[in-house]
Amino acid sequence: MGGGVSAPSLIEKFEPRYSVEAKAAKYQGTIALSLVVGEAGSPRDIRVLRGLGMGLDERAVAAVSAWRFKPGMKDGLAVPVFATVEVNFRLL
Amino acid sequence: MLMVSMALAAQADIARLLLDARVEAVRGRTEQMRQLLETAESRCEKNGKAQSKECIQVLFELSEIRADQSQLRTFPPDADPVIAGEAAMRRGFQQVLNKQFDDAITSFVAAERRDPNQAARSAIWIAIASTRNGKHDEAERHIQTALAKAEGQQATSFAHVAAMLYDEMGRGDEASALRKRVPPVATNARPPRRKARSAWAGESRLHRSSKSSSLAIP
Repeated sequence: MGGGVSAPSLIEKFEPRYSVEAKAAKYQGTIALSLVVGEAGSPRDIRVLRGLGMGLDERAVAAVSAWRFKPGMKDGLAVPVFATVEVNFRLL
Repeated sequence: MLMVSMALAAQADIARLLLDARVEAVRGRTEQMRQLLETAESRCEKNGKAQSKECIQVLFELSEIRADQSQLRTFPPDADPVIAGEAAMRRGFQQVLNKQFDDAITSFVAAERRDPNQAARSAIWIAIASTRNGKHDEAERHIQTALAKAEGQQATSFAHVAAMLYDEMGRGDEASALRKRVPPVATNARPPRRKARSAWAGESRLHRSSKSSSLAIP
C-alpha cells in the first residue's frame, strides 16, 4: 500500500445468511461494501456501495461487521485503513 | 427539539441492537441474538416505535428464532396496518417457498390492501408467484406495475428481479434489455441452474451457499 502502510489482513470471516425474502425469490447477486478497518482490527463505518435489496444488504453488513482483521500498520503502529468488500449471494 | 433528538437517539439505539443481533446470528450465537432482539423489542415498546422499520424487523426476526409463526397470522382489521402488511408479505414468502402460489398471491394482495406503501413490493411478488406458477401473462402485468410504482434503490432491485423472471420465462432478450437500463446491482443475477434448484429444499444447504469474498484495499 502507499505511504508505508501495510494492508490489513482478514483473520476471522463469517458467511452471510440468506434472507427468507431473497430465498423465496431465488434472488442472487453481489453486494459491494466499503468499510474502515480500525486500529483494533474491527470494521467500522460500513456502507453499502452497490446493494441488492430483498433483505440481503442488511445480511451482508451484519456478516462483515463480525469479521476481524490484523490491522494495517505504519511505522510499527496500527492505523485505520479504508477497504472495499464484495459479498456474493449464490445458490448452489 | 430535545424530544426530536431523544427520539432519533432511541431509533439509533434500536438500529444498533438489531445490527448487533444480526452479527451474533452470523457467528452462530443464537442465545445472544435472542437477548439483543428482546432488549430491542422492549425499547421499541417503551419508545412507542412499533411501526418503525427497525422495530418491525425486530418483531419478525424474534418470531423467526422463537419458531413462533403467530406473527405471520392474519391480523384483525384494527391491527397496525404497517405490521399487518409486513406480516402478510412474509406469509406470502413462506407460501412461495412451499409452492402454494395461489395462497401467496392472496397474501400479497392482502399486504397491499392493509398497507398501500407495499404496492410495488406486492406487485413484484405477485409477478414472482405467477411466474413460478406458469401464469406468464399475469406475471407480465404485475412486472409492469411493480416497475412503474417502485422508486429509488427499490426500482433498481425490482428491475433485476424482473430480468430474472424474464430469464425464467425464456425471454432472455428482454431480460438483457432490462438489465442494460439499470445499474448493475446484481452482476451475476441469472436463474438457478438445474442442480441449484434441488438445493432449495434444504435450508441449511442454502445458508452455506452464500459466499463472501474479494476484499480490496486501495
